[in-house]
Amino acid sequence: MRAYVLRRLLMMIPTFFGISLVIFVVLNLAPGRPGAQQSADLAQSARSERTDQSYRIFREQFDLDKPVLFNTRFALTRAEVQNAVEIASSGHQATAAEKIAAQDRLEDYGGYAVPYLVAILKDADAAGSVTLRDSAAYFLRLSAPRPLSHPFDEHPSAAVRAYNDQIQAETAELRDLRYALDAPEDEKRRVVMAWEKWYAAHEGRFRYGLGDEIRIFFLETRFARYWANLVHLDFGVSLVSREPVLATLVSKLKYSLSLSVASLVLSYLIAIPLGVFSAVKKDTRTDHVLTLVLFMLYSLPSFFVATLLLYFFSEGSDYPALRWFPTGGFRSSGAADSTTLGALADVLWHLALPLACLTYGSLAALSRYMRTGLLDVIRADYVRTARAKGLPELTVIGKHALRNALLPILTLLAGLLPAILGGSVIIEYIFGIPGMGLWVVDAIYTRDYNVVLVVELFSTVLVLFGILLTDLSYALVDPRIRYE
Amino acid sequence: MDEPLLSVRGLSVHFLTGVGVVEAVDGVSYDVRRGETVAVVGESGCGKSVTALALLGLVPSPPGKVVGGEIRLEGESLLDATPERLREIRGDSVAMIFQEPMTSLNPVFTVGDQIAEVLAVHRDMPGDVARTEVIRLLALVGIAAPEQRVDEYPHQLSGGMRQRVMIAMALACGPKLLIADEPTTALDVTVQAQVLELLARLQRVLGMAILLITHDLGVVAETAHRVVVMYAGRVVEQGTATDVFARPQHPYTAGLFRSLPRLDTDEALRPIEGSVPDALRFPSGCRFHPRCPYAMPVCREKTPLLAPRGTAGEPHLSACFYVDEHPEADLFPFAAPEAT
Amino acid sequence: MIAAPTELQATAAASPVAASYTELVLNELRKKRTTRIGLWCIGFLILLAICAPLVSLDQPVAWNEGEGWSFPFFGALFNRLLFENAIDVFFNLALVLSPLYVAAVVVARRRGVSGTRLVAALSLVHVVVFTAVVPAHLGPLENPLHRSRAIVEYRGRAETLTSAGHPPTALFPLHRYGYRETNPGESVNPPSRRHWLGTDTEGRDVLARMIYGTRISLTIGVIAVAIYVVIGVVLGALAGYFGGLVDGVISRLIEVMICFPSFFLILTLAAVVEERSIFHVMVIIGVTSWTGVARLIRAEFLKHKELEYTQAAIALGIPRRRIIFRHILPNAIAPVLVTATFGIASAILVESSLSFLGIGDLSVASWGETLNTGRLEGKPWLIFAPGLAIFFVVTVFNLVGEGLRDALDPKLRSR
Repeated sequence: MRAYVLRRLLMMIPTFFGISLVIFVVLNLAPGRPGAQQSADLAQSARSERTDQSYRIFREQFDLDKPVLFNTRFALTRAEVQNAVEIASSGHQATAAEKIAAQDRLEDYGGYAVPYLVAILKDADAAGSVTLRDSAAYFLRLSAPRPLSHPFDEHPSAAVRAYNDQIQAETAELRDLRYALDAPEDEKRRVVMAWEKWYAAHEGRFRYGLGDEIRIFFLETRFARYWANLVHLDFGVSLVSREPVLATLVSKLKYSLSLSVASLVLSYLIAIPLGVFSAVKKDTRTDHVLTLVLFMLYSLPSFFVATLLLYFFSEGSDYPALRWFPTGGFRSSGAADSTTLGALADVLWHLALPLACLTYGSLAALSRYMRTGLLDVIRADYVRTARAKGLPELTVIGKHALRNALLPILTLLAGLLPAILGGSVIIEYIFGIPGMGLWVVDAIYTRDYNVVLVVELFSTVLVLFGILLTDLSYALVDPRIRYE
Repeated sequence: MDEPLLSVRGLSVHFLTGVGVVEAVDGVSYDVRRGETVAVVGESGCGKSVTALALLGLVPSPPGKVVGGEIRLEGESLLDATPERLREIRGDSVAMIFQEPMTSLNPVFTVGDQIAEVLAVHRDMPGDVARTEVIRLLALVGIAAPEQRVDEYPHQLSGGMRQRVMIAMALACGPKLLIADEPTTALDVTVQAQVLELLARLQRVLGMAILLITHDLGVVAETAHRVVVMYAGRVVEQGTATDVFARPQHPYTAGLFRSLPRLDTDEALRPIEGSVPDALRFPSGCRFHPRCPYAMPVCREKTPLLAPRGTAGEPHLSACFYVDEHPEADLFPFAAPEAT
Repeated sequence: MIAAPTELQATAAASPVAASYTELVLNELRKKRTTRIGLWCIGFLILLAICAPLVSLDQPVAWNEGEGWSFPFFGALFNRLLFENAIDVFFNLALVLSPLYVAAVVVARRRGVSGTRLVAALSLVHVVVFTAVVPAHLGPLENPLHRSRAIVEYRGRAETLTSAGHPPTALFPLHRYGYRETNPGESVNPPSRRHWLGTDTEGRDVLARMIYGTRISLTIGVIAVAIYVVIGVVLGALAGYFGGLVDGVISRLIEVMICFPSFFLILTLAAVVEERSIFHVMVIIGVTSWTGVARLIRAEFLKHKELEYTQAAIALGIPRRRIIFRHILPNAIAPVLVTATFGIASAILVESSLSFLGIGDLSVASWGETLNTGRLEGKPWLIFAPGLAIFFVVTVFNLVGEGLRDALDPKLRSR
């Protein structure tokens, strides 16, 4: 058995790798620059500022300025940089989109472009091409500072703070190295000279040895950074709360898991007896009615039922006699100081409606499977043997048949868990339960990408563990697997 | 003569299917006496297994239904017994083993648990006592290292071992009658011999009667005291094994023997012509007549009853008009009737 | 070239009447009463989707206020101010061309063309015409191909003229409201003689939105399922037929995809898409839900690959692609039909959930959106109308799915 568990755990590793890979792909599908194509409409620009900021946090977290798989930017040529600067400074008759793309490219090059920008600056200055020089100076100003580490982390570690202080000091040196476009030519010349001096002093930073090149080639990429972040469990901070998303996630799991697990347990507890009942009563009137009711339940959308239940039975109901349940939430606001039992009752009172909505669908499906499974098993030879042994009918069905009929039902758990987790999103949203689902829906509204990704990743990990749990419980019930 | 252990009289079992009624067993009668082995022989689908299942009330219902007849175990009518009484008899005074040892044991319980269950139900035996008893039983049926085997699951055992476990389970309460439904069919030839040998030895030791259901005449010859031959839901011949083998009194029995390979002759095997009739549309009269080389017009119209015929006397019975008219005919060579 | 006999042909030959496999299945389907009801309901839904403008629109089919007849209805069908969405254009086109199609069916039937082939041909024709018409409806409103006339308020005018004592001769659709007409003055009105199912927060007619929502639901269901059936069939067939490394890679991919709670994945993808439209929703549902089909097809291919007819086809030197798609696939596709029918129901559910959460395409008439309005407003007509509509459509597809499963799998039927 231990070997079996170990083998299953080992098999999870490649699957987890695959999952992370898929999420990486989704990550790279993320929009290039949200709001870039949006109109200048005032109402939208407020939103767009917000999205812009969220996007910066997201870009920062997932190193979206870096190349996807391999980084060859240490081998950047001057021609590439100059081309980008020329397009950006509209030296060519470039379209707006091309200009934006060139700007993005230069921003992505970052520090790697600095030596060439300095050279372009110097040459353009010498050649008197003012526009080229001015934009080179502008991009130099953007690219020269080194980025901060964890800029959005409100509680950085001492090491990070020390590093960031140093970077900020460096950046402060560069503060004056710029000029307005309409500045007098003398001032511009002074800044150009200052850049040359600065570069001479910091040239070492932009020289890469072979070791550096290999490191940059493989490690300074989105792919490598993504994995590094995963390994460090570093998922960045949320746009809205500025809290690390992982910590928030852990606090949200409590709600989501209690809802999902309770729903799973409940649906099995009800579905198994129901399935057995209708299998034993096969083709009777009761069986037919039960089948019909379960079929209807299966087709009823849970958000409709939830809305109905809230409309009729919550405290906001139009019918005062029916105001039995709260309108939502997980706990009553004033219930913090009550006893454990009281607190439990309070939570149950809050969860009654959400649980019902989350459970009935899977319950319907499960009990159908249970019925079919048991009908299959009842015809098996070993059930006949059990009868021939003179066992009471209750033992024959309840022990010999049921234990075998449970096996296929158990495998369904693996498929049911993602369904219930998915379903809990809408249930949490309707009943205002502050779990993962509600959080992710809010995050989608605010385009809080880090939150969306971490929820996606963790819901998947939950499912992965659910599958493991299924396999293990299957092995527990079926000795044939246990001893393989 | 004393009262037989088991007496079956005119048993009829029908299956009500969507397309019609199948008369799987039609007026079957036979006796089993204490301590003897009775073999019920016939091709698959002739109703021999259904007869056996009917004895213990195990015919799957629906669609099956016992529509008539009488089954008495030591004088007690089993068809009139309450389900609870029937349950008490099953596994206690009458036990049964099945054809497929691979699927007849429940895969999710250890063999020890499955045997101990019988003792718990019928003897109220507590767990630890039962365990010792189970180990003794496993040893009795010739399983090596029973102390280990008792905790193993069916899938860890070979086919022959599983059948031994089934036998141990059946013997747990010391039954008076053991119904063995094709106990060796699914096993390798060498294992078959071992299992048959085991059954014979256990019968000598424990003195139980065995109702052996088989299509294998070789098995019958080795083990049975008496033989009941069934064809298409009816008994066509019955008698002591010696009598039936020496001088079959029904063309079908003779045909079965003819289709067996024999070492003492060079003659080619001659299978019975034609095939088992459709259970939904059995032929009229003697159900064997379409395949019978001796068929006469009367065979098509009237149903022959089981009675002493020809040269045979009690207890050798058969149901054949031809034997009535040709009492001296030797059916064995199975030549065409014109040539006789 | 001699085609290896397939099971399809065998089945057809074995049946007393020389019916095609499709016809056999259809006959089997019609036997069950509930399935028959389900099929009729689907037919009704399709008809309602096509005829939606005839049922509910503010433009009269014929209008005469004493200055001669005009027929604003037909122009309105392709007026971008009224119907902006490609789905609406598709169905409106079907409505306009339906007399032609009906005529084609009648003629073809008389000549004995098979039903399946006819449906396929007409669908193809319709898609071609649709693709030709769409450019006129794409891009900004200044699109030169597009000539939308200003909308005349015929309904209000009819009322004014009637109250003035000169009622116009007009033939309106059954219900005189379009689904996009907003009316701030009539926000959240309960059902009345004018608005049979009331209005929503923006004063839009709920009945009209329900009727036009049929179009969205059916399209979402069919297209999303079509996308994932194609993905699943191709991947499953490759994995099952080739085995080895190909199977290894695809099976791992399936394993990984199964771990994603599909609704979370759909949410994530929806979050990543900048300007969500209903087509994004279809594609997202499509690319996240193919694993079931892929597993089914893979298993079927593993089975059929070993059967004699495939071996015979290989021995005859038939090209591999032909074996996969012409010989094995038709035999392996049956269980996919069942999954697909249930899949339509669940795709409709997913779309309603998304628009309920406000993450769908808010420019179309989605039932989920109305239901969410009803939840927020706590008004029964805004809850029951869309809720029952979704329930009805989902039930109908599930009914047919069950029937199809029973028809294709005789083993299950006996239970």
